[in-house]
Amino acid sequence: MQYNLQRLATFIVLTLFSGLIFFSCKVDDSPAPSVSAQDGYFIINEGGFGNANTTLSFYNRQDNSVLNNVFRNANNRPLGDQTQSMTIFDGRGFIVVQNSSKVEVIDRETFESLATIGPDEGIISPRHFVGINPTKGYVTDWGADGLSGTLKVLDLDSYQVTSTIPIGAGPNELILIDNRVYVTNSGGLGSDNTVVEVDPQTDTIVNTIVVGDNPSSLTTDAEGSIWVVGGGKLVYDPVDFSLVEEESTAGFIARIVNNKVTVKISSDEINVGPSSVTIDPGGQILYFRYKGGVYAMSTTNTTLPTTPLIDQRFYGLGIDPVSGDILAGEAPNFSSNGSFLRYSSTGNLIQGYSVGIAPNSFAF
Amino acid sequence: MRGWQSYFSINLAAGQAWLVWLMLWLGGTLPHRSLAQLSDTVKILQNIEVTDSRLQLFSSSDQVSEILPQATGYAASNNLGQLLMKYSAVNVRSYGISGLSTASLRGSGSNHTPVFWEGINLQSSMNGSLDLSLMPAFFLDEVSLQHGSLGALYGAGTLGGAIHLRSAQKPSSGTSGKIFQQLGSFGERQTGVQLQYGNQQSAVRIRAFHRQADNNFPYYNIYRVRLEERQHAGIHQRGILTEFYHKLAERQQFEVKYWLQDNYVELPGVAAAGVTNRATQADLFHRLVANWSLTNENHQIRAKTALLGHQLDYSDNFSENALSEAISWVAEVESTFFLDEKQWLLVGGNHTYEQASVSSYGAKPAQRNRTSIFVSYQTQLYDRLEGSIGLRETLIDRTWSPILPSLSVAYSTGKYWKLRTKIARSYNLPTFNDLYWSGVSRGNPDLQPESGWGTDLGVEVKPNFNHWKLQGNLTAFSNWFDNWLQWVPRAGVGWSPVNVQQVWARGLEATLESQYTFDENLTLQCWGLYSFTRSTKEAIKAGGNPATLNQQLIYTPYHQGKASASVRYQRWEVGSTTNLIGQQFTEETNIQLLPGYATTDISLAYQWFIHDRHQLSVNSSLNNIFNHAYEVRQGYPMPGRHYQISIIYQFN
Repeated sequence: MQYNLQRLATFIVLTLFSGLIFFSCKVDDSPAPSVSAQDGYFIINEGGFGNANTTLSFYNRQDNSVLNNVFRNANNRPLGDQTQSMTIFDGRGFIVVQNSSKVEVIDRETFESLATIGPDEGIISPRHFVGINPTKGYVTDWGADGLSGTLKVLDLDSYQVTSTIPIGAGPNELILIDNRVYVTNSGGLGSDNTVVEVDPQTDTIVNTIVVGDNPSSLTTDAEGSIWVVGGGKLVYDPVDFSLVEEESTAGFIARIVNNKVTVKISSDEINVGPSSVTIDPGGQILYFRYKGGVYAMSTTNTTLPTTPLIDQRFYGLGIDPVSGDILAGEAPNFSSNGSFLRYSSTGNLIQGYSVGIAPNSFAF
Repeated sequence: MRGWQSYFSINLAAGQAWLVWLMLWLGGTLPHRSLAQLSDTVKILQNIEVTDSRLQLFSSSDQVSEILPQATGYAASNNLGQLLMKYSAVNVRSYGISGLSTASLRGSGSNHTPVFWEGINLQSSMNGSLDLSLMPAFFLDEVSLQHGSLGALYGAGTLGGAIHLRSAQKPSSGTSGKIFQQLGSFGERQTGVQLQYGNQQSAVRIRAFHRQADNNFPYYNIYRVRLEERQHAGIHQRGILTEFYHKLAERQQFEVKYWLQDNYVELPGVAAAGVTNRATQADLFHRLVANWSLTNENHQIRAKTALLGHQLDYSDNFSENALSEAISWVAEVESTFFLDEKQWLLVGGNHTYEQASVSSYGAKPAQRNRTSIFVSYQTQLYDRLEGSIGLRETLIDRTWSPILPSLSVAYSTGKYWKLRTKIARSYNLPTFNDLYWSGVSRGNPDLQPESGWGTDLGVEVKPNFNHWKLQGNLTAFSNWFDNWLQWVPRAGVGWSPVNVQQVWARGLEATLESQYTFDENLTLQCWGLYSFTRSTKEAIKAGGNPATLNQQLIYTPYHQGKASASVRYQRWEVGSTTNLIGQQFTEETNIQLLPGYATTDISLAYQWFIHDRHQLSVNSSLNNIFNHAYEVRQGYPMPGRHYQISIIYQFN
């Protein structure tokens, strides 16, 4: 009996400590890049809000492969919480990490960090970046309350915020066209309906264009006009939280020429609107996410298309400016890794890849 | 003679081993470490009071762990979450030191192991959880963990197991009390007072505490690449627990307990955030339970009613004072019959009414009525074989729930060994948030309850030597959960919950407990636990993510190892506790993970006898002595090395 007991005790103790050997294993899921980063583009994985798991992936055009976790692997630290966008400018990547209140600046080739422009520099809730010239850039920022949005002016030499321009509620995507910057005010935690034109020489607002409720995304076509999409506005009853249809508005796509809305096509439903608008390399065909699919629309259209080009719900959408491929980010939820799907410009799936959580956009 | 006493006497004749096992299960009402010679045991048993026949008598084939005996050197200022994290097989999911802590047992979800206080389920009707970090250890005299599916005995929610909390029994005659003052790192201070008075007829016990901690511990922020102090992580709590016991007649007991607790917690947010989170949560709890029992020779009847109130006031950077209020009323009657020397029968009924007013549910409060009947039968078939079956049926508003059966068998293979096996069904009702939330994300009124079958097979060994007590337990379990609920993106915008997946959780639990008494001056004690848990998605329904099929659930480590050891020499006690938690996936396709970690605490205590009736003791502990940087949840750092010291004055 005594002998048996000793054996049992030995067994249990051994079992107890066998767990130790599992403790130090780590998955290192991507090696450092070995090819020129010029030959690819970045996939921005937003992560789950508050879960500190945003990551950056890189697609290599030469061998059609994807490297995940490239920021962490190059810099030996996590990227942060909730990356909203990334913009390549002047050989540098400007990664805008909203809940971490920072813009991470990396070398486009090596992915190594050049600077962090963070809360100490005055960044609060940043969304998108645009480069004006090699020493100057703008970042849209929602502000602490999600309502008092600003444009932060960045010095790209010293990586400091040099001034702050109040701009509207929830400033989101912005674009530089003919030495003017156009900023969409997407509403943030409230609502707005304007696109604001800023003179980057003087950092002043020169025009405010009322375009439709909560414009979030914009692009420019071959003729130099601006296309803006917005989600419309949802108004809920404060008592029973039902949708107040009379006060809610439908989403839209609008064309702005010479600071005037010349075309505005509304969705046929409230609560539904186009988002993530982008355009083909020729500047003729608009692509956007809408009604659970990807739609393509000629810049000459006057109505929204009724059938999707790709009948699948995505979280992020982009067009490869080199190949014209349609790039889609699929996010099943915010707690599992998503996929990056590469389609031909006609909507045929070429290849799919596993990337990080919630791929929301691409940077070229 | 039939009844309680005769049962135990006759059972003694049936074999000493039975008594040892009975002692284990009845141990909740006995000094846990005082198993004496068997002849003495009979005398103790004859005076035993059955305070929870479901746990003490009808769970004899379940794995039940007492938590406090191995909690060596634990400070009264610890909370239930910390106790379970260090001294049980529970996987405590925690958002840092003052953040929400919930229990996952045997690979189940966070809301699948409810906490019962004095037999009353404290799960919130709004979100299905109870924050373990808000439960002060000072108010808990007994903490038992019952493993496995327990639907027949305890009803909804018990898919992984149950945590039972109780006060000590009715205070004995006379006046006694204690007062303690504790100080700790990061602005921790706590004061507690306990007074009790009893006579033959009645007794009263009152305890109160006040606790404050800033939790502004230093840590290396890997996201900001610098040393920082944790901000906005303070906690402020105060509470009072009053218990009144009265003997109405020779065999009739009445008791009423009221627990009032006020908590104010700063929620620090993720360390990767650039701007300090300003969210705060204030929870006010009222818990009132009244209990009456009548014990005859062959029958015990118990009636119980409880009223629970919870007021939750949340505000953050963007919104102020979102006030939610929930109340529950529970009425329960149960009868235990001693049919003959070998058969016991439990019959009972429970009615639970829940109501919650939350702004996001709309103008009308959510409410639910549940009426259950339950029956359990336990028999000793042969000398060495016992079995029990149980059934529960519940009317939920106007719908009958599925019948919850359970079947368990235990076989004593020898003097020291026992084999046991069990199969049982349980379910978990959707919370009011799951059903009635409205806005961009919205609840789903068509949700089905999560349901599950759990089975286990265990072997226990408990030899009894003169000076050496040893107890071992090895259990393999397998739980199958269907209609597991998850919030998934809606067709338009926002999120909504659906019954999305089937989950299979299986694994092993092993514990070893040993105590060696050299003489009255020197005692050695050690305890160890290892658990292996594999909990995977076996089927993904519409709305779920097919890429997560066969993957391990997130924040469910494969391996957990926990151990404690203590030496008591005269008036000194030295102890140490170690936790080894394996890596856990933080992402459902099992690519991203949180590294495993190890923490070690040491403690030292000394006790003076000032006078016959007056004692003074000093307890101190140094936690995370190796200053290991770790996270229990990604982005939520835990404190490095820190201390606690308390001085306790006791009189009786």
